[in-house]
Amino acid sequence: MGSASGLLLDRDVHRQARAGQVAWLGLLAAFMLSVACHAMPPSSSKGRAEATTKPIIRIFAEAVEARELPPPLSRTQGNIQPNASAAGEPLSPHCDNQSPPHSAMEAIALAFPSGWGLLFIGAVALALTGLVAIAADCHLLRPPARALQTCGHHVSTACEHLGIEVQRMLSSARRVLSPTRRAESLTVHPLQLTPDPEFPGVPVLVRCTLGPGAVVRYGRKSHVLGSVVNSGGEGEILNTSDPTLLVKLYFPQTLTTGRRKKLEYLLRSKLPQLPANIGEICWPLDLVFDEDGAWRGFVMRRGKGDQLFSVNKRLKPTRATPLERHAAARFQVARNLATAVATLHRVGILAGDLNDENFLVDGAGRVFLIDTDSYQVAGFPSPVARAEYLPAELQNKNLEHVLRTLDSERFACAVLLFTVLMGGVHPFRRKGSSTPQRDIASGIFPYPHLWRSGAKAPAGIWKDVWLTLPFFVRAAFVRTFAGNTRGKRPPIEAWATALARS
Amino acid sequence: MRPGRQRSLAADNEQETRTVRVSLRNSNQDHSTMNSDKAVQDVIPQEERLELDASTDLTERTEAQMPVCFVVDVSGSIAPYVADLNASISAFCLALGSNHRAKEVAEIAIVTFGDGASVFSPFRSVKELLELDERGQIVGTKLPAFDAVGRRTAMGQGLRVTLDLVDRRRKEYDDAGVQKLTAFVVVFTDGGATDETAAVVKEMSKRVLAGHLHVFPIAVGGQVDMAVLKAMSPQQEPTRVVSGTEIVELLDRLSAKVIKLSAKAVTTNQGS
Repeated sequence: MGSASGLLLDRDVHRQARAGQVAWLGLLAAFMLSVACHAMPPSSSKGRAEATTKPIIRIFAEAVEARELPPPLSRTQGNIQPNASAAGEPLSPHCDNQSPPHSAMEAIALAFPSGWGLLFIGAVALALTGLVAIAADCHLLRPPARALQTCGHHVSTACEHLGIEVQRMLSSARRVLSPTRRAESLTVHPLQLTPDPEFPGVPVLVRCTLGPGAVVRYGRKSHVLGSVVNSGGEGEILNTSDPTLLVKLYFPQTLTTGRRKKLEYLLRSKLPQLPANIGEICWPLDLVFDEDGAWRGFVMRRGKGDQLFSVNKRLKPTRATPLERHAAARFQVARNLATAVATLHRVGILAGDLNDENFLVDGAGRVFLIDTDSYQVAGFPSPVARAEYLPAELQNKNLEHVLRTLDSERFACAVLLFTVLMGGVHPFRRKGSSTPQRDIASGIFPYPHLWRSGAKAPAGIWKDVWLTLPFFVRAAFVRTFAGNTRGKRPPIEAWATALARS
Repeated sequence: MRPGRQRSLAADNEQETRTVRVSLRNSNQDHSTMNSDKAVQDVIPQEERLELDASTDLTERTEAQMPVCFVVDVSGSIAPYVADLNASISAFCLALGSNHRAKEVAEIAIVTFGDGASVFSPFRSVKELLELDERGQIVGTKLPAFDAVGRRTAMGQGLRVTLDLVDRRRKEYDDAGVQKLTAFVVVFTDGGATDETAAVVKEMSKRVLAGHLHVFPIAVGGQVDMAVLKAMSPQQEPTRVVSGTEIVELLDRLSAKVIKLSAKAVTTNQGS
């Protein structure tokens, strides 16, 4: 059953894609036709022999001009008009029986007193093709058996979409699709352009490495460290006697004066928080010292749930199951992620090392931002990153001395959102892929959108999953990934808005 | 309709029902943050679907793939080390399997050479190679064990088979549109080659320089022609091991390296 419905769905999606393309072509053709007719220059009529060598638009113009204005002709009269001409009943001195219409288009032109008629036809065709396009996007074009079952739902969705899409196109889409300075203008602490000269600073001398069972001090008490929860490039995260807290101990080589200065800055600052239904940002709460009184790391609140990496695996669509399965959960996680990152951006903080291991997601889809000590605040850089989240301009740079920009953060966040919405697949994966870094550098975003071809999309279900995303979400991804998009990427706040409406 | 797929779907549905119960129980314990959003429903399934994710379909894999190929000399002279070689390759697979990212990224194959050369075990994802009990705990690997029975050492043929195997896999990644990381080739041998190796070794070193391969040549015992091993990989000195314990330790270090490459090779500039 599963495989049968999966195949059926594959066919549907391809059909939708084809219908969508046809609809857009039709729309374009109708638009051009109406513009052509509307823009016809009023010219005086010339001889028949001359007319045969003229462009067709001039022929239309002459044919229309040649007619005595009103009587307006009905559609029926128009249809029989060529026959009438052929039968030797000239309608005007210039339209004799030796001038049969040159094409169906000319016949239509002859049938109407002016270009306004064709403009009307164009407008009707435009509306119809627009409806078809929206229907294709709303999954209306399905085999009859399924369409019968879901017809009512889809019709209402189509109507809803019609209204919403027009609204979006006029207001929020402008923000999604065009680069704006909105996020920058919202910053409380302006983003700095020069890194702090004292970062990363010099290593702090410590006597020995600490591990489980060691005694550390934070707040006003001593605590015994528990087991290691995770180990990263900068240090280890350990349990402590308080189950709601975790301690991060830096490795001796990363335990530097610059990092302590950054932590003290964070502890002094008024840091943004998330609403409880979105999640939580696990900010550093206090510095951690060893028994000698030497600084070793910091304490933070424990996040709930599992790493986004494994959550993506659970929500991954498969060929064996309908693509819509878990789609709502994927959208909820993406929405919460975008909201959380937008909250940081609003106060001029960049997450920097955005990746699928720095977010925890609980059963309700709430997100917990961890590894917050690596965020880029004020002039303190975010020194680590995973290359598959870095835009081409930051690949192979030493991030300890380079500050990220909102633009590069938008790229990283869009990669993260793409992997969430698509069940873990990287946006630049395509036929003939190389490593993620090289794929990003190539700037080839392989998925279809409007006139963009999807020929390089990776094999399997990924193109179908892509086509299930809402139109404006797809448009924003294309805007972020296709070609050299530096400086043109949509702000994360617009993503949060677009996803909230999806 | 494939019966396997039916079974996994049924298991999936059952799992979902169970996980919703689990998550509801969890959420009841979280009074601190859940009070304000009682209306929020649990939407994320709590447990990973191992049986669905261990798919042989390349197109359904989401991570970049890293092929790891063991090229093992199975001439009779290596017999004293065969048990340790088998055990250490299994331990290597288990070590990768215990890392959540490496088990998605790495694929393992074994090529053996002795009188001739053949693909003893084709490329399979580490996740697919893990043997699980009813509770989903890892209890072993599905890698087959090889024996040392050959009289000759057809190393040239073995390397040729390896290069073809890796090339074919990389081509399959291309066709499926899967991103690929540099392949790992680990060569174990205990003697000199009995066939022509110059051409294939040259080709191998060329691919190492092109960034397609990492080659780790390992000499087992003291009778090995080190010049050939050195020529295979211009970037990596051959390692000599003389006991089973050393083989186990070496592969342990190698698994840590592969884990680091699968998870952190893509991380740039972690401190300086």
